[in-house]
Amino acid sequence: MKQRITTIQGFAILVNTIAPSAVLQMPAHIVSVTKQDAWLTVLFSMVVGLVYAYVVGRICLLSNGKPLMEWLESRFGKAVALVIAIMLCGYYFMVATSVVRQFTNYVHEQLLNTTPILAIALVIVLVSVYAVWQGIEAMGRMHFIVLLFGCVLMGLNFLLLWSYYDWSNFLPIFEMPPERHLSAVLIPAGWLSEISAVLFLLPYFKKNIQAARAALWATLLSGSMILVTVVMIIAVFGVKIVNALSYPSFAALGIVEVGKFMERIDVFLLTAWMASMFAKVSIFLFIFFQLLSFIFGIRKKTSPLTALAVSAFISASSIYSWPRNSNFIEYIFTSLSAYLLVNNYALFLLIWGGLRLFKKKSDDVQGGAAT
Amino acid sequence: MKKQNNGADSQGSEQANRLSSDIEDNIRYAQDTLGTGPDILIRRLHLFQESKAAVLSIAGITDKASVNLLVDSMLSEYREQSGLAREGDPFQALLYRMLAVGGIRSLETLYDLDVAMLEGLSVVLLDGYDRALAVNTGGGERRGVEEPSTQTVVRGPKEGFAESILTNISLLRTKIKSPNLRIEYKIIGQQTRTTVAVAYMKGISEDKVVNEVHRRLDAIETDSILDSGYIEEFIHEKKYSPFPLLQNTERPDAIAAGLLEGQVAIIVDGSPFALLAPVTFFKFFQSSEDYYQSYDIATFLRVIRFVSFFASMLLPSLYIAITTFHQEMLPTPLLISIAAQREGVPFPAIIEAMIMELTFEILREAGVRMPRIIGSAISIVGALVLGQAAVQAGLISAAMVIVVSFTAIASFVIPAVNMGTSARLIRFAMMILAGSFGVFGIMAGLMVLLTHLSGLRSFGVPYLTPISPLVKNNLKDVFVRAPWWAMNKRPALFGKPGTSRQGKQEKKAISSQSGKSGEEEEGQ
Repeated sequence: MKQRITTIQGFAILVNTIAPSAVLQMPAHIVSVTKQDAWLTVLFSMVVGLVYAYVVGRICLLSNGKPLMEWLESRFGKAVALVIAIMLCGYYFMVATSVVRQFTNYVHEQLLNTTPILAIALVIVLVSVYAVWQGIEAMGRMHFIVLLFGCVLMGLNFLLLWSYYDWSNFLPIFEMPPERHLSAVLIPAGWLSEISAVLFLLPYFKKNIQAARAALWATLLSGSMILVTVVMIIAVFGVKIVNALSYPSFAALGIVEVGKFMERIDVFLLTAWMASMFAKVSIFLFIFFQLLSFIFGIRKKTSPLTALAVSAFISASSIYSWPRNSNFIEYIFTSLSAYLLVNNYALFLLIWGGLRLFKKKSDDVQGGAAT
Repeated sequence: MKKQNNGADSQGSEQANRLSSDIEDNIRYAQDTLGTGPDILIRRLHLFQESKAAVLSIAGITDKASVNLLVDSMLSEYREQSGLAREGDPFQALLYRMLAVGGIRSLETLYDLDVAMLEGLSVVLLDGYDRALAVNTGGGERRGVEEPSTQTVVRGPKEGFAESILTNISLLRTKIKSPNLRIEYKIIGQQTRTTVAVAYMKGISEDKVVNEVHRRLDAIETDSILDSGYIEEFIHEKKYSPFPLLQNTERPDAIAAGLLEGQVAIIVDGSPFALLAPVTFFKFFQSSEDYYQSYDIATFLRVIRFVSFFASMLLPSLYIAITTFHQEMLPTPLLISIAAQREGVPFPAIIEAMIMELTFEILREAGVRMPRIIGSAISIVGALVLGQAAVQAGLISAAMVIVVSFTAIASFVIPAVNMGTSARLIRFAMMILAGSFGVFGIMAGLMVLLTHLSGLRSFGVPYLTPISPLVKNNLKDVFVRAPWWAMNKRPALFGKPGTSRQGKQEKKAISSQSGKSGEEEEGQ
């Protein structure tokens, strides 16, 4: 039986692909560049993200319903498809390892200081590989519940912090010059470009138009989540304190108290974020396995032993690729962001151009409903 | 119509052996295969023109009165010498005219003779004929209809299924008096030859589910089916899952309600537990009583059940995680109190919790197995010696006793015993994760569970329906139980819109009407 996902499940997968790690470190970075106008930067990046999501949606509409790499192979030939697959495989491997490292760092620093980080990374990867093992249908359902849970808790966080908001922290408005916004927009726009993951989910949608819709809505919600986080941390801490905190989004939650009997409930509130991080890793690994299977021509379902080996490799890569956390943070805001922009914007724009240039017979496009 | 289950039959060669026309050969065969014990009854008779006949039955599984009636009807015809004389062929006369007992079928092989006797039928042999008659005289001592022992309710029917499949089906038929209630029978188990009934509502149940149930039942090849639990394990999709993929119940009203919502029931002879398929995760938190009492209290109780399920699965692990890794979450006075209690305890929280949980499991198992008469004594020993004395001895902390006790009580709140059992199993895995990785470990475990649940299907229906995939129509009976007048449609199991089960209730009209009549009364 062919696995299928619905529009809302695809949408949930895509939001979880972007938002969880974006709300962890990006808000602080944006605030450090555009200060109290950071919310404006996020809005600009959302516009860029939506334009990109539209282009990705157009690529979705051109699809013939086959998995991305098979489709590209049928249009550009085996050699070109293989080169694209290797580039994307490298990209998704790097992004997956960096997300695992990001998650591991957070858990190690905030929750489990004495636990070996390799053990934490291994747990993260094994849980995510298990999700991949269950298939896209199970992942779609799981992502939907995780997103629902995340949205409810995010709303709760926002409300619990209400009494701590100081709206004067946003003043003066429009103080930052456009060039500051331009440089700050690049990073969130890069992260929003991860929406291109929808192309790997294409064969699981009933119609291509569902994928295009999911991409647009997911960009909008992910951008909104980043926006809410940015607004929340500026309103609670003000610009100066935000810059001194490693994880300002979660530091804000740490100050929440319920009456006099519940303190530091942020651990519970963070469970939703943890769930979405597991979900995020799972989707990157899903795509990574898909590309690996295409490159090596593997038709069968990945064996448990291979899955374990890949888990160990990804865990080890995420831990040992960056000797210090400072190296990792630098990597996120320099190399990775550049890589995101190049891979997603440049590569997929090239693919789109190629698809329009090398048009095939009209019956290659899936169903009338697709267009 | 009863269908013989497919599959290799070790007694295939015996099936091919036809009955002998010599009555003595057939009797000898029956004695060879079934024995000559006091339960094997052979009544020899001489009928018209001194033709020899015999009635074979097994005491205990046949109804004595029916067997006597059978013999009497044969002899009375002989006395009158009318029927056989007129008919000419004694076998035809027996089959169509003489026997005053319902349910007769003709047998042709020796194997059929054995099977008929073992099913509680009486076999009539007639000398000179290589055929026999099997007469339905089934009966014997079986437990009657009693209150269900596992799914009791305060308000609602008190009758529960018994071991007899006929009793169970009659209970079902008294609840649903519709020709759309279809019941199809099968024989499963080469040695036990257990009768299994598949019940469904024509026009409500999905044909593909009914066919799938039949297909899976037909595929069972086994020696024995002694309870519906055997069937459950044979036919559910996932081989390895701690979660039940079929619902079992002792309550005829629960089966009737399931059938009316499109589920298919499997009733097994010898088991008071009938099965319902397909089932979703949320069905296990619904109790029959939810629909007999007011919807507001039913909703409240349902929420309590979900909370209890999570408490029974996670409470000890949360205690371990918080006391071991995240002490900052506790208010200072509570933290000091717990720390003071744990001061003399020689074990880390995870070991302490494991000891207590395992002790409780042992007590629970002993409680089920031990003779009832000494049950209370053991309970006192368990509660006082292993609880209070262990705390006083400094082996465990009082807080841990509270956590374990509450967890144990919470596990009994879930209406479905098998879902409660799943929570018990998962609890141990969660405790190990919490002891190793704190809240992060619990979250990792929950993610594995969520993914696992998301991948489960029961007869093609996703296990987490109607939450994921989202089926809006079914949400009226998940976390809340909407009033009956608002549940106009049956739940949609396969994503199609649910079919209508009642007329649109004009709630406002009814209330305004009653208000009016009240005013009129006052006016008069």
